Amino acid sequence: MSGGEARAVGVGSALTAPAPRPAEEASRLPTSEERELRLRVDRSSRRPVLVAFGCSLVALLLGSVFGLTASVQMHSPELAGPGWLTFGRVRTAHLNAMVYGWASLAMLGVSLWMIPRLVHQELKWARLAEFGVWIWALALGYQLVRILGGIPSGMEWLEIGLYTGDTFLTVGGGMVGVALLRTLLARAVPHLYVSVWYIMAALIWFPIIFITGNWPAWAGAESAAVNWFYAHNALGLWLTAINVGAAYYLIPKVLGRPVYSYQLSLVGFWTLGFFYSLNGMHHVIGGPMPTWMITTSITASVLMVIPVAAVAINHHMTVVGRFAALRYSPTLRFVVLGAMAYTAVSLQGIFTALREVNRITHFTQWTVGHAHVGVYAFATLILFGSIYYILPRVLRREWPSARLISWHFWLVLLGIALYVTALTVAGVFQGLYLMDPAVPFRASVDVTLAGLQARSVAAVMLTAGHVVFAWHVWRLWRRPTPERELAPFHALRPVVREAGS
Amino acid sequence: MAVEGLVFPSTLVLLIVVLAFMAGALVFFIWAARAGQLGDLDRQAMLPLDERDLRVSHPWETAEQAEARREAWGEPLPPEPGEWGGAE
Amino acid sequence: MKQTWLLVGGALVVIGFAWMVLVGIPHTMLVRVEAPPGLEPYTESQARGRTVYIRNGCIYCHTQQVRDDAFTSDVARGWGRRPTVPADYVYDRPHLMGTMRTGPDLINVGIRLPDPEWHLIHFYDPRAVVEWSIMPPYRFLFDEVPEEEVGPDDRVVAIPGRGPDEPVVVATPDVLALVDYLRSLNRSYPLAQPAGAAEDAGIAEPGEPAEVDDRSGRTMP
Repeated sequence: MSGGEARAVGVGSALTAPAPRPAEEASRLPTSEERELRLRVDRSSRRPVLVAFGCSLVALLLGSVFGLTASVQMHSPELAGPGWLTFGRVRTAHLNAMVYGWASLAMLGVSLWMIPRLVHQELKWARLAEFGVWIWALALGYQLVRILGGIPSGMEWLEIGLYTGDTFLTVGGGMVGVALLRTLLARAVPHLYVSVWYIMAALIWFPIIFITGNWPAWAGAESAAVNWFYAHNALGLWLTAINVGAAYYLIPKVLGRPVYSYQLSLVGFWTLGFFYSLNGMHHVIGGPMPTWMITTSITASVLMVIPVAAVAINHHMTVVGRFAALRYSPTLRFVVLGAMAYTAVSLQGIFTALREVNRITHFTQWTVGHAHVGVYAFATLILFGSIYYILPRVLRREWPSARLISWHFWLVLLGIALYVTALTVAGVFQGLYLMDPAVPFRASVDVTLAGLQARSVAAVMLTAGHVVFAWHVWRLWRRPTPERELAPFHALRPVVREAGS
Repeated sequence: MAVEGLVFPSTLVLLIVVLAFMAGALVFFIWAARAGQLGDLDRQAMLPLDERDLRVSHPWETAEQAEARREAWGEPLPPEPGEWGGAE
Repeated sequence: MKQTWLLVGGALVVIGFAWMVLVGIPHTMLVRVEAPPGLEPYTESQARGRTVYIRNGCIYCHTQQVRDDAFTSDVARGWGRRPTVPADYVYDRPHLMGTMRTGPDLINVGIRLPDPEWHLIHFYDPRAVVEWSIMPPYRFLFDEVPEEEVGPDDRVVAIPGRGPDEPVVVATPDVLALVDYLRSLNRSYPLAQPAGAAEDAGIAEPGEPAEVDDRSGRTMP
């Protein structure tokens, strides 16, 4: 598309590291200076990154408990409990804790660490960023309590209260964005790497869609259109953008080789922005909405095949021939699986947006399964991988236990596989039964029960995985293993620890 | 039948929308390319990689891959614990 | 890319385009939609019931929309006599169209289930009236009071299977408002200009009224 694909870094260089050209050699910093730069840059973002990851983990644990509770209640409705534990509220608390708490805060942490690294500049206005993260996290915590007390606002993904929640999330996120933009403007490299585009664009897109979605002016069918304009873009332009950006950094970094085709990453980025942002109305196919809007979204959904293929080729072809690396790098294990899930969830999404499929899968557990391939198998796995890579570099200590990482990995991998399989199968039958007017409604309820019970088993596994992960982070944080305090990964010689680290 | 009434106009709309999107994206790319924004991409692609990332020996690589790395970046450095994210 | 402004500007152009297409242009069209003559604004009590509906997350299991009958069976299943159109929602702030049919669609539940007593029993104990239901009970929307303390204005709900010694179940104003809201849900009136409205909205003409029976999830005795 750019006309330059043919002269990409190329297949040859994808198999071997490219030989440095003279100009490049000259522009490279000597290893020792690179090391000093990394240390300085990581130190500058240390506090806001740690606050973001810490808060995100609290939200992850809370969200897991909410999710498990809601899951069990769904097949055993007599376990309803008092009002604040009723299914509708607990389910909503789960979604908000996971999306705005766990994923968003972890993504802010990843952004705050990665941007300074990629622009070779210390994080500017780090206190502002840290303060922004605190505002986001505390406002969200208050909103979770409010949701359990009675959901303040009635649109999916927009349940947070307008003045006590949305305003603070916008301001808090904005403070992080401003600090990162300031850092970007002070950059010490001439280029902006692909991860920088994704992350910075996401930080620009999010406040625009978030304010649009929450603007209290919409009514009737229009509020449904805005609802799905927002909710789909929250996935596409926020969760997807930052996590794809993170994968674009971590895969080459671990493998020690550039991405397969850098030109393709350009195509992928801009087509993602253009097409994903128009996808929202495929959530109301057949609904009370002007047909042209729905058609536009279906078209854009199908066109998503371009950015998805671009990212898939880049992520997967970079790893091809080196899959053994997954055994050595827990980070890569999570990130590569997350990248595969991204390809899978996007293709599934395109498929689901077709009228012929959607008429069956709409309004069923299929959608819930699909959402978890996206937010969990894709976004969350990449965030786990990122945290495994970033935290030791920020804390300057090595993870205490390979076994705990293994437990975490297998619990969440098997858990999400069971989760998605159970709900996808249940959803297909539910949809087929709902589609046939000769089948009583009851059948569409009964047929999902086995899937819902299996989902509760999956929820236990995922929750257990999260507890293992949080426990491991706690051990890394509180009980450093003394022999590894030599600022790993940076130096071949011991580096004097700076005061207060 | 109502189905055809729905499908036919939407196919036309679909076509126009697709073409409009494609044209817009194409114009944007051509403009960006002519403004020199897309040049020098090979160097950009190497940006996240430190010399250490390129030189350190990657135990999963085949003999040829390791040899190519040595030729390009010099004698390999030994990896450290947690070099690639996570406990060894 | 090398320039920050290209990135920032490009990102703004991309989102601006999508915003125009999916928010801006539809706004100019949808604000002109007027309420059909058959649609009444919600009364105070119905509006309160709507809030209770929102606060307890009913939307996560119930939709409020009848999809195009050209390619779905929503009408055939008896969830409405015609697909719903944007004009059916002019008083809805926000919309409660929903995304899940764990339970049946509710946009015409007022026609299917007009009996308030049924709703009250159903909220207190869904399985007392629908044995296979997986809806949670909403007992926190009721008070249990000793029989002698029941006031003259209290709405006592006769829950099947409760012994005479147990305290009686009294509906709170919240659940009464909720029932009021549900009973008001009816989008079966003819549209003022069915052809024009359907064309504007790109939605097929309403079909023949469908038989309403327990295919729609109604199992009232």
